[in-house]
Amino acid sequence: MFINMSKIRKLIISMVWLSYITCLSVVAQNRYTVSGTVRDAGTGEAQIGSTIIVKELASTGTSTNGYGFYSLTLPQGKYTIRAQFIGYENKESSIDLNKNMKLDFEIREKITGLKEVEVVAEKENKNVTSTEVSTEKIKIKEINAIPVLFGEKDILKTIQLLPGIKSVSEGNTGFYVRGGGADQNLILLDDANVYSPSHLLGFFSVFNSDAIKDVTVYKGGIPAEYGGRISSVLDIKMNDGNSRNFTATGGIGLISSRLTLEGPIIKNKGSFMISARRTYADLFLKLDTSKDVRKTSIYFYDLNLKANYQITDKDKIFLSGYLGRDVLDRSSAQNAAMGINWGNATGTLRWNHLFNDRLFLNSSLIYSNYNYIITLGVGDAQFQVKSTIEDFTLNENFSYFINTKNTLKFGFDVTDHTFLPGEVTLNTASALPIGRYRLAKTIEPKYAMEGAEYISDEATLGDRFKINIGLRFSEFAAIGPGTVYSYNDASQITDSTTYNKNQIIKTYGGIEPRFSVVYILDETSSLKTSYNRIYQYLHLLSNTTSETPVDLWVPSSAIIKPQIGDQVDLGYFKNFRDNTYEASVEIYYKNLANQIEYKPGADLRLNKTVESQLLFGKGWAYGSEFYIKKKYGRLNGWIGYTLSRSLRKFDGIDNGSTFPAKQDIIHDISIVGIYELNAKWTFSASWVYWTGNAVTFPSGKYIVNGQIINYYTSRNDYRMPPYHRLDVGATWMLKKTEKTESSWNFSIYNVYGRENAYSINFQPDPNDPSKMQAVQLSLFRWVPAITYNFKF
Amino acid sequence: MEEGNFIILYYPFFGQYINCIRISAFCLLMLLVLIFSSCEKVIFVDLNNSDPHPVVEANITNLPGPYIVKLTRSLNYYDSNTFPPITDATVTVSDNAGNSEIMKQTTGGIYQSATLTGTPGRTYTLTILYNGNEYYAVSTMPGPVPVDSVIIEKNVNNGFGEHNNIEYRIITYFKDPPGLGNYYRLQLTSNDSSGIDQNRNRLLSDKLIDGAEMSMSYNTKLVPGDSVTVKLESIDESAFNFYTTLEAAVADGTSFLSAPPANPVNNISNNGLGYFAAYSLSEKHIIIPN
Repeated sequence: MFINMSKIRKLIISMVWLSYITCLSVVAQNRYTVSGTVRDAGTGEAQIGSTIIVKELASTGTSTNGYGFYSLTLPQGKYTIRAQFIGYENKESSIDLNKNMKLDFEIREKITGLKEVEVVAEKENKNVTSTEVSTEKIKIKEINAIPVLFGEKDILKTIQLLPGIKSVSEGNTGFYVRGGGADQNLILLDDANVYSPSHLLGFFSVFNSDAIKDVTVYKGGIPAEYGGRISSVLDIKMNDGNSRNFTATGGIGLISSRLTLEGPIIKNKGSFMISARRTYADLFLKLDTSKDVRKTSIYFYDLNLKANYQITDKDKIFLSGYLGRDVLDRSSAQNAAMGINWGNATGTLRWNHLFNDRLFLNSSLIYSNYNYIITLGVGDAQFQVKSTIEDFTLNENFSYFINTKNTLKFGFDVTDHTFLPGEVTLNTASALPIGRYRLAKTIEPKYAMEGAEYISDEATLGDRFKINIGLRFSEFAAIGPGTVYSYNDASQITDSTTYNKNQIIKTYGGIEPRFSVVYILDETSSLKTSYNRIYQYLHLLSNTTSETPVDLWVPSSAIIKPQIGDQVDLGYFKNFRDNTYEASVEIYYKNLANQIEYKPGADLRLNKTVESQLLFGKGWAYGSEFYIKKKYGRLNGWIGYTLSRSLRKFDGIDNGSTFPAKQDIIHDISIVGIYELNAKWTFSASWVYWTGNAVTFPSGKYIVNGQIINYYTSRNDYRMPPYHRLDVGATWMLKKTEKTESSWNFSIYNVYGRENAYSINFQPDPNDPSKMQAVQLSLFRWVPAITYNFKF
Repeated sequence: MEEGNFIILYYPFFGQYINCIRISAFCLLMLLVLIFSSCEKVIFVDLNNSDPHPVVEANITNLPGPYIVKLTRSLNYYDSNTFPPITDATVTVSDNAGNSEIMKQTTGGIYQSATLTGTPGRTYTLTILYNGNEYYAVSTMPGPVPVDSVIIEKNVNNGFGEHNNIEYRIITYFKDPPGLGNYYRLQLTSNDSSGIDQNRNRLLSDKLIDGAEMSMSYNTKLVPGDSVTVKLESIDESAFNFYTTLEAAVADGTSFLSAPPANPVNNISNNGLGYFAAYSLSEKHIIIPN
């Protein structure tokens, strides 16, 4: 392995020593640690991000980590410890802290009857006081009421309603964070990288919300434990499964149905969750009169699995997996086949270990695979092209709760990447006459290793300052076997070098400083600032106007340098009316180095010299985001507004002049409202508006060989028409108890039928060939949906 | 069937590989469009004006002349599709063997050679003086590659014909000379022009497979008795790049999976549009049998 293991070992050893030294010094002051886990009383699920408050000590507290664990070290004494979480009843426990002790909490979800709603004892101001800047945590339960296309709850759609996160076209799940590219988002599902987060060419995301517990989006101030993508992190955690009772949850909708089963393996010791979703719109095709149409399949499915088991008080293992696939197949009467299917598979084996009540280890072995397979042929003679990216990752994360003022996190990760850009196979070669064979080479695989070590400390400095400071060192190596080509300006191969197995072709690495600081002005307001630098070693090449499943992931190489993102931001956070309203204003500036574009007409598929088709340049993005959210009460929701730019500059494009990136959307507004009329009815609405994204339209035309050719003057010099849309929804709760639930969800997408441009084509007028016309295609006007959801 | 690192691939389908993605995606889109109300409408987009540029269509072949250079001018997008000829240009063609000739304008915008002889291996330079600006283009004529055979297959479309019409696939075979850097463009002409999609080029390079027996296939809607001329052009790299990058700019209603719009890569200097190609031609005539 190329990673210098001895260096990591030294780092770890020094950290452990540091831990011991701090431990000893702390013990000497008669301080003890109270630690434990916060769980949902109904399901036994660990509660991520619950607040733990020490009532006797103002401004002392913590929150649970991604596994529901907390640890507080306090001077000896009597305390009342409270666990609280939005939507749950608070729970308090009095302790006499004279030794290190364990204190677990089980908190009960509020059954939202109208009478109880307004009685919220304490409203949180964590958004003001935490060091997290530009970060949004979303509980899946909170998004249930938001209306979406076809009634499919979708976490990626929901985050696009937040300021700074954009989509550029209708129904597209590819998203752009603060002007960054769609490939610059780190999307983690139980720590496993998801390379393609969308189904059906982007109309749905791969995340079945029934299987998801919690989502955290980082737009800035990205903590040191994350790396590899320069614009954002979307950290998604799957449900652990109910460790108390067996339950079934599901939904029957217009285009798909879902079913989730969960229950204890051994009561309170271990649980499992299995969740499945499949679309069935293709069943309607069977009704068609044409045999060709009847033999067409179009569907996708998702399968999520998770199991956990508490081995000892201090050890817990988790196994989670995801498998999802899209299938598009056309067979014809003549027995010809044409199909494409694609999907992700991930697996995570995780071990949580408590060395002591303050040192927590999360150790994971992760597998991630994305591939697509294209099949073509007639009868027995078919050929397949398969493109795969496959990762194996080892991830070690330590959390060390030094005292109430300092939490240290450190660890490392190593990933082995394999890229198979194009494997060509014939299933029955003998069926073709020999005279028509042609020789083609499977595109050579590429191999790479990526690794990082990091350390960060979240520290409270006095009453007003909190700081999270971190350092990450990331490394990358492209390794053999492989052939490396050099090219001249005309993209012709000038030289090639062959590397043997495990020989290092090219290495990159860099130091990634991270910090975020909060300065607490008063109980309800604060100023925050952050900076992060991130290296990105994998890149997505796309030469189509929208992201597609056949876009190509490529590693850095001698020619492709790692993308480097630097971002600074500054925010003012203010809560009103006893923390009922949260408001923030943030500004950011982001610099993007080593950005990639393709040359005009680049051929990226099945091309061993794909690197010769690329252009390199730089980008920058800046903007301001305004956000106000009402968290409590019968009416809640938010308003977000973003004013931003995202620009690029490439020597090879428009003679090096600055042009807007595709995702350069200047104004972006979203308004989301959810109103709980009574225990039975909840209504919701969302409205979005954004000014058109940047596109290239023709400014002229000419004729060559009888064909009219559009003439373009410069890249992305036009704008699509503004996009806006109102969606409404209603949930009719038939029954809701702690154990069972059943409801109907109704929604209408695009209520006022706005014809938003999906694409605009420039072509000769079919009725008058002497004229040209622009034709706008719009999708999705007034899409009604109805879904029945149940739980028992 | 693997042979070492090589895998045998049925080439005629290979050209459809990318189409498959587009067609599948298109099917999906059509499904969504059918099920859920969508609409297409003509809108007015306020487009900028663009400076007029000369547009060149110039070919020199290994066949006897005269060779023709056609000059027109580009227009603003919403102008009427009458592309004005350039009648006041000075057009010169020279080769690297010391020959040079000023072409004479016959009709508006059509400039014709008188003495020039296209010879494989020579490099030709086109110079256009127009409106006080000079435009250059260089092209080297590759040697001709003979057509070995042409095979006509009946009803062997890929199975996605809409109404199971009888279709003829015309497959042209030829042997790629050893050495990288050969580029081909195949064109079909027929007395039955409606049987052939005239705007469709078949392009092939030997980047993936050098020195092999090659074939290019062309699906037609010809009928028995039609006569067809198969024209195999050996083109140089600049012409190949022009034709392959032309697709992104052709005004024929591109799909959402098309390459992003961009001007084709061409060999005319000074922002001149169009192309100058010196190429060699091999032809074969066939008649669609009963």
